[in-house]
Amino acid sequence: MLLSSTNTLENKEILIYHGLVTGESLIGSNVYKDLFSGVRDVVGGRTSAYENELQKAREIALNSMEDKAKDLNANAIIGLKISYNNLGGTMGNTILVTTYGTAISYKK
Amino acid sequence: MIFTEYRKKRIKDISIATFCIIIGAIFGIISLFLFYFLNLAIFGFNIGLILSPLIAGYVETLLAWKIYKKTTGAVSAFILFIVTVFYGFIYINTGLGFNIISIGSAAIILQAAIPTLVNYFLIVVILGIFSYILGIFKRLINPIIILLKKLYFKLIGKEYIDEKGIMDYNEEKSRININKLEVSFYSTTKPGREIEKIMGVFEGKILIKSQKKLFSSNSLEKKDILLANIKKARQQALINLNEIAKEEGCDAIIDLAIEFDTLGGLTEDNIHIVARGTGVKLKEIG
Repeated sequence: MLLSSTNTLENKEILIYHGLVTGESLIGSNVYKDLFSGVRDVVGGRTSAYENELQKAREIALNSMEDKAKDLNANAIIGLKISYNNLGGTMGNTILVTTYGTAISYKK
Repeated sequence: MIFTEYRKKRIKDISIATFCIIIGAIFGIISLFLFYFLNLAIFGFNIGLILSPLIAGYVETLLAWKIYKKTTGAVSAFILFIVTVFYGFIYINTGLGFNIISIGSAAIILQAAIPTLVNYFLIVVILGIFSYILGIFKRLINPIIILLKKLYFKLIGKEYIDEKGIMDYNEEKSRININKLEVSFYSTTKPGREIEKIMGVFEGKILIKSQKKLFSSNSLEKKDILLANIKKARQQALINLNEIAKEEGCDAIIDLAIEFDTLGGLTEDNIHIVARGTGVKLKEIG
């Protein structure tokens, strides 16, 4: 599955526009992970615990979206957008990863 | 052996304390009787109602201090307080009836005498019973309200978003296909067909509530519920956008953006989902 954030595929002919496909995932709050993440921030290190979780959440959201595109017999997703939203509010962090794009079939 | 000694001492202490309390109470009652007999009243209010409990408590404390160098907490003063209230304010008060003023006055007197117990009764017991009854009522009425809400949403052609309940998203998803609505959605600026007219910017919105608890028993389940609610709400935002764009005569929404914003609060988060894009009219094929 070809993924592109552009409006069209350069030098490729788009045959069918299948429509909108979406994907999403949530990272729940974890007190210990948050705590260690904070410590790493202070000492200037990389917060690998969060990085890994975010990476995993991103993959879940993208895979979910790709599955929907495959169901529509699409072979690419263009105009792809990925957003990270903090739904934490006052009681901790809940990060929502959302992806959406336009499923298309293009001539290979 | 030691235990028996301790028990003996304890029984002796209790006996002395009881004796002191009884003597204090007797003195208090006698003084009350004298106050009434001598009619020592100020503006019709017998001062015995105030002084008798003080006399009882004083005699009891004095006696206890003399006998075993300890106080007994002036329990007789409290007994006399109840006696004087019962006698002075209730028994001999002919004007007293079973009405809200009398009950209110009695409650205030009791509140002054035993504030902790009365406050506990008022706040914990009464409010507890009241909230429990309301809870039963809510549990009974809730399914009916949800059923009516679902019916209403069905009538206006929209999807009902459950705020807290567990939903089977896959089951719900099969019912609505966002790509089979009247208006097509594209995240790109090119919809695949030539654009005849740009109709303007359109938005489809929805606000969902996410309840928060400090201690959650099952955070995984909570996460799943929240995710399912977000999916459904986003679906609803797109359906709302479809409705608005359709009314304006649009064929497609291009450059679609879906935004999620949290409007936080102390006990709940409101998640605002906005689907925004440019409505266009497409040229007919051929």
